[in-house]
Amino acid sequence: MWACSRKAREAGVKAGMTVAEASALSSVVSSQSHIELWSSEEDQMRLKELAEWAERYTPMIGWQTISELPWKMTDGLLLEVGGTAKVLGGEKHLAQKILRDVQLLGYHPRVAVADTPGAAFAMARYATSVRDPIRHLAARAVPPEDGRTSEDGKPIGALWEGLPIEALRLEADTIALLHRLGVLFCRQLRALPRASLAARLGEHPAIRMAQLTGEIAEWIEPHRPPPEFRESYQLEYPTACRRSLDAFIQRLLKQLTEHLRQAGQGAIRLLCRLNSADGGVLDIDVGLFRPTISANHLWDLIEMQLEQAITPAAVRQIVLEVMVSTPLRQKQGELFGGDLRCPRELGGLLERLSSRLGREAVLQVRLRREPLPEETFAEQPAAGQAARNLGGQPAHGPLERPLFFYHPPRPLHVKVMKTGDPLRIQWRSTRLGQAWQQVAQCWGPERLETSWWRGPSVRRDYFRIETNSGERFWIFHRLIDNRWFLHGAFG
Amino acid sequence: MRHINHSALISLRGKVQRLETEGRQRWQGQSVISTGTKPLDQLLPSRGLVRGTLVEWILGADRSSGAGVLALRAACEAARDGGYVIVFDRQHCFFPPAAAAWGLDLKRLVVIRASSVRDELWALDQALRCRAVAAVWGGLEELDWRWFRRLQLSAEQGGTLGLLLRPARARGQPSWADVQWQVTPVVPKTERSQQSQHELQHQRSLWQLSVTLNRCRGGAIGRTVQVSIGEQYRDDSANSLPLAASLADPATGRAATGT
Repeated sequence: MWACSRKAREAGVKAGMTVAEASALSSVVSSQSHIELWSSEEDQMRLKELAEWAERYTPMIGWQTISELPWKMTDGLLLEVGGTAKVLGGEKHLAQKILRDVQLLGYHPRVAVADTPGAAFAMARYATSVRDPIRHLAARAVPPEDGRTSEDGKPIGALWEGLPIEALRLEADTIALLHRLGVLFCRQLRALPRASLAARLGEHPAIRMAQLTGEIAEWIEPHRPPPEFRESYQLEYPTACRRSLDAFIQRLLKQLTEHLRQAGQGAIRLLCRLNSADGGVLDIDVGLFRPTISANHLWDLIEMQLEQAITPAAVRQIVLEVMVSTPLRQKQGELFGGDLRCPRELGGLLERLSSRLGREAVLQVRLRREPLPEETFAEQPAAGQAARNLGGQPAHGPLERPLFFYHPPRPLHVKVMKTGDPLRIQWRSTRLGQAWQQVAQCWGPERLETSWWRGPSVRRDYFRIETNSGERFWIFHRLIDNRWFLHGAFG
Repeated sequence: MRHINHSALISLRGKVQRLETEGRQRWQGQSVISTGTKPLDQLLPSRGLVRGTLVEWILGADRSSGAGVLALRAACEAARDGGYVIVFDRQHCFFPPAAAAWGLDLKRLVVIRASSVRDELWALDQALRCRAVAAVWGGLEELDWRWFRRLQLSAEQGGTLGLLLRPARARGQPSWADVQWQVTPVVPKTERSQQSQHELQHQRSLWQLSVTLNRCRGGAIGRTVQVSIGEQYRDDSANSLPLAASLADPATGRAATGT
């Protein structure tokens, strides 16, 4: 269990339980309990969306990760508001505004404003006043002897002293060890001599403590790498006129490609962002197959997407950013032989296709050595990649894997022989209806299972079957719950 | 009743034929592409498929009849001179590891997953028009004749081989494809035969398919051959026949390949 509703919490469900325990508990209060599968990718995607959304408050938004240290938890965002808070009505006002806006999006955020990333992290998560979701200025993270006071006039420094040591972003082992030593709060840790602390527990606790109080500066890892080349234009009067927008974008493209040319770089991925006066944003993401510095070519690709998109009401600002670029290389054509087919044409084709269908719809493939068939290949967009890693040797013979692969697998009814081999199969199909089909031949079982260190183990017995009409399918028997599935057809 | 001018009719017919084959003649001189399956080549007048044309493969209902594999082998053959193969996979069910096992070079493969039929047709048209693409492989459920003609003209322009997997109902519909194949698996026999157990095992692991040539100008229309596939195409000319197949009449075919 990762998270649960209020009603479920009242029934005694807690994070960290197994699903079976939780459903048993929740069924006591309500017959209708719903379990949603948690996916870390989905989490990351939503957080990324939120980060892009939050760019309205500050241009500098970071993941809550500290790259050189093992802490890799990204369930929060760091906004550098030192420069923008004054413009947006002060820190307190800004924090309240962010809280309100994020709540409107359907989230339950915790917001804290502090002097250091470490203190903001700690206060957002571990400050005791749970009622007030904004721990505004609670942790003016300067040492207490400094004697400064917060905007509210309260003495500062006292608040972080009472924080539990979990707030310091330490590894679980270190926290457990400190607990055993009776060190529960930050002030206790602070009181320990730093040299002996480092000898026993390594550098991390001292570094974290110093980062919390601002003695050591800390980098914010940006959620979006800063663009390598950027051009922007602020319109004096916001306009929705396509012709003038086109002209502005073309002019910016000329400037941008000139910078690229001077640097000897070619654009691989370009972002064109139109900010409208009412806060709306239109992003046009252009991926290229080969690096280019041709403004006309880039404009063609942008125009193709601009035609399909709904332009924001009145555009206030146009930004062009080169997200990925690679050095331009000149290649001399071969006089005799060589590649007769035209790579330049292919590049143009893939760029046009990616531009209209989306980068995620035009893919290239790499094989991977994984046991589960759905993981045996990885896809990457053909356009907008600086480096490609493609191909690979197939691990199986031609008739051992199906050409058409159904994922997720389709449930199947199977009657089995004493040996465990399938005898008859039945599934919903347009042609067969609910009829049972006799298995004329079968090859298998081929057991595929995941490694134990990959989380919940998956164990399947695969069979290649030929029905009595001569068609060939790939089916598997899931050993955990004894169910059968159709996973592919042989072509 | 008006008198029919035969000589005018003949000259008109000649003109129409010239119009129809004009674009194709550009690619006629270039080497013919094998289908990757020798018995199929022998049914075709040019002993193979011609660049710049469309080929239809009629599929079974569950994509389990073997037509996809045969079409893919033709795509591998077409890509031998360094061209790219573009796979259209709107249904998200193309499995690259299997395609690699059939001999497709994944480094020169691009998979297109359009979200709508309209986008897919547009992309297909663009891909066929591109000279860097050797072959296009993909399933098309619905295809009206205007789009069909447009695709055919694009293929002609780009010299690309278009391999279209079509549902069974496409059989009677008007077609702009040069060649149409119908593939059905051979019903496996269970009775024992004189062959040795080892040979039987080997033959059983191969996949027996029955292929009918539905449409081809100057080809043996209506003829059916049985092929058995299952071994990877090897790239040496001395052993370029990967099949244990024989050309046979539909009537005697079953008896000859009795397993």
